[in-house]
Amino acid sequence: MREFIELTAELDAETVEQGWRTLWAKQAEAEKNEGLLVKRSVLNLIAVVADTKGAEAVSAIIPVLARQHPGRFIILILNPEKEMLTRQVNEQVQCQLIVDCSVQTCYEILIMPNVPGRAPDLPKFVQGLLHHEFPVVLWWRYIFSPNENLFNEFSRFASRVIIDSVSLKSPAKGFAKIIELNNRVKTNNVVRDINWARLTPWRFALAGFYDIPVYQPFLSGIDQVEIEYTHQLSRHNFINNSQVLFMFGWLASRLGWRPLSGIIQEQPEILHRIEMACGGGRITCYFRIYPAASHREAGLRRIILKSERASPGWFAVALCEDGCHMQTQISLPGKKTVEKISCLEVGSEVDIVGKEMNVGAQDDVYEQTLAYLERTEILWKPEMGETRQ
Amino acid sequence: MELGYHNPFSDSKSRLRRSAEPCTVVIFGASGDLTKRKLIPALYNLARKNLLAPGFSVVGAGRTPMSHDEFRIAMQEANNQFTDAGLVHDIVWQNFAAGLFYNMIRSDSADGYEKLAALLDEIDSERGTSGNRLFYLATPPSMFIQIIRSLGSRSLNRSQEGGWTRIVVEKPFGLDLTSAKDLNHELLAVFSEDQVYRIDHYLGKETVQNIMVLRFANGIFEPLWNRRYIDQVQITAAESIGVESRGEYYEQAGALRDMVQNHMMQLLTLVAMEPPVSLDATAVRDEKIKVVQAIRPFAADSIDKIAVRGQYGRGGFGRNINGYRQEKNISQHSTTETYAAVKIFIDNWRWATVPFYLRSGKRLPKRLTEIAIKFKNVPHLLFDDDAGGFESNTLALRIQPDKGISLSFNAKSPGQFIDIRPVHMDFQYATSFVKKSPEAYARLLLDALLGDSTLFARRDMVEKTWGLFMPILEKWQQPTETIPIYEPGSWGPAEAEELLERDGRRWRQP
Repeated sequence: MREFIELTAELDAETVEQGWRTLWAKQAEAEKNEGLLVKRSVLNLIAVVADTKGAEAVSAIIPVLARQHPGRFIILILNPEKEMLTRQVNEQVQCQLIVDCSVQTCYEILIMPNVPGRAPDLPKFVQGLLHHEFPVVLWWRYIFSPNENLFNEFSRFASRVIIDSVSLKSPAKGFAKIIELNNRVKTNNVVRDINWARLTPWRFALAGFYDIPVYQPFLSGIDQVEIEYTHQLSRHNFINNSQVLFMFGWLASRLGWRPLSGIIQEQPEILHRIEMACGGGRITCYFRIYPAASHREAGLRRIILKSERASPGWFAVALCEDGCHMQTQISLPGKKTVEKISCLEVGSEVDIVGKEMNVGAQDDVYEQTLAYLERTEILWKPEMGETRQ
Repeated sequence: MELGYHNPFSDSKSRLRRSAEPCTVVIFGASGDLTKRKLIPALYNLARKNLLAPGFSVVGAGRTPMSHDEFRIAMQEANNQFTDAGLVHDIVWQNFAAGLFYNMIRSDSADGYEKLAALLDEIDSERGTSGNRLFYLATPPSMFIQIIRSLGSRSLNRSQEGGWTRIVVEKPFGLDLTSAKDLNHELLAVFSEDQVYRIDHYLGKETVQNIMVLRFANGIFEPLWNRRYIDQVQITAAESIGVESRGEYYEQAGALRDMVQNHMMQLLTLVAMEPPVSLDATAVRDEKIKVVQAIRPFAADSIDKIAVRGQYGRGGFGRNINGYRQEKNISQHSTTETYAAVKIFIDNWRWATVPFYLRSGKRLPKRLTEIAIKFKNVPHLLFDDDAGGFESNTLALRIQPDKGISLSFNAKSPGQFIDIRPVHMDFQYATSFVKKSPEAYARLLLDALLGDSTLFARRDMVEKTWGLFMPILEKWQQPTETIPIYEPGSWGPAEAEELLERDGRRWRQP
């Protein structure tokens, strides 16, 4: 059952609450069980989106999210279409109470545009609507600028902040911003990055090599790494190499690599190289770039760990041609190359967001990766940073 | 850089699972039902999820002559039939099937094991499985001992290349105390205890963890988790289906052996155990065995007061379905129980005087496994008798089909008068967008491949639980004993209700 209510009074928290109470009462009357309705709530979600299309996308997945996280969902449209701005604010607010009869999921939604002039009040208004005994999740489904102040205000009272660094125009500056935000919100909050979460299958595949004792003598002799990728386009047509940087930073920070050089362009737009030190040895890391014919093709293609000098061998993880499967290959001296094919289980946006909403702990590995990238200044190299197509 | 054995990427907060080492799984009983319906689909799903190493191999061992390719075709057909259609990816299957092999083994031939040893060495060389072997006994139990002895006589119980060797034994582990001890004796003559993985139940690690987190991560429950506040514990494992194709096995086993002695005892120990010192397998299993050791033995002369059995008859569910004695491979005069209920007391400081009621049966109203902790009533009720449906608080842990927790408590209905009614706070683990929980066999196989024995039974636990239930089994096996018949779709025989009514209690109807 779905009910809508138009708020005719001046928009304030109490008016919205009253609207929800009216809807709950109507729902309870409609219930067959003598007017008893079980209302469950475990969290608040504030989703900040760019436009109406974003709001529709989020609204569509809220019923799925609410099955595990029933609660109160507030969707804020930061750049509403012009025609929305000319209408009265109170006509643009919708209060939705949706009860999914098959699974007894219930939640409340408020969708509202950010109207100029009201923005300074927006965080306070939203804060007044929250159930304070439950966690507050801020899903910033938007780029970090120009409304950065708004992000800062909301993240102050959110216990979990979900971002997607693939939307960054420039990883170089964006990562630094995330680090700054992470440090600022760390005391009470948790920052989760969907872009990082998408890399879990790659990280899992590579980490799996190190679970196997018989591979470890070869892995300890790694002296060459190749990361192949296609241009990853962000929404604003900037080349966003965030995933490449994440994978490199993750490998380097966990395996103790130190840069000996900056990024060296072997061939412009095609091949970059960086020299690293590892213990007493040296590792050369290559970044091979392929052009993507479409947005869908963008992303990591293959990562190879090679041992050329000591005990020759290599370990590779690659995306299959179909884009839905991963191939893992291992070649050791004196042995035949073995391989396996598995499913690339990245998950949809709702899968990832739902999982990230579940997690209450900081991801130290993510933070360490960012910190490594910042420290080694690899972020600041234009070859790996922002490049306008 | 020296890596040592520690995985530099291993970090509990990175949430990266461990993947299994390259190895060969040898399935004895390769042409049997279990292999087709459960084992191959489970291994395929592990491969699909990238949880197996490159080079992972399977050798099917059976009596039917078959080539490697014929085995691969047969397993593909089985996988297509028993894996969800949307999860069957041809590209994944083709790669997985490249690691499937077959070796014919007849019980009267030594040649089969010689060829098996040679095949395993060849696989080690070609596919890099490094001498790691997992032997899986998926045959009828009558063949276990012969296989174990054969593996020992050909030194297949120890890897030559420095890898590991393990053996998984399917349940039931014996049919009584004597046969369980015999089987243990044979196993441990060839393998060491840490190589043996006895499947005792199909509780997933997630369920075990759910119960442990509820008990040991919440401050509000543990102070109440004892005889001062708990009146009784009811553990129910109900199925709505009959024996179906398992008649031949079930006729020898019955509900007590099939479910109560193993599966339900696992649930009981998880509820009753003391907090372990850590979550490793040994620590958890040590606490579980202590519970079993504290259980009051069943006196042979009072079995009827503490145990009830029954057998489903014809009809029920509004249809004329077969009774147990009309099922395939079942004797018309069978006295095998399809329902068993037992009352257990744990004589320790935490649980003294608190009855644990266990029941399991087939053709019950619904499929359900739950643990219900019923708390004691308030010492004095302020409200009038006509205040309404007052009930004692119950904390119910739902194990399947929908994992979750519910707490029932009393609340006042809206209105001028004090009208009390029970209400439920309910929490469900399953969600619509999170992937389905890994199927039980996939979990168990992966744990065996990883060397994690938490979910597998230790020798002492198996023998202790068999010893506990022997008086009941011996009583029920006496030829003079008749078995009550219950209607399918009911909650069991009338005698089961009387078991609790004598104590002033009644069964939950979940």
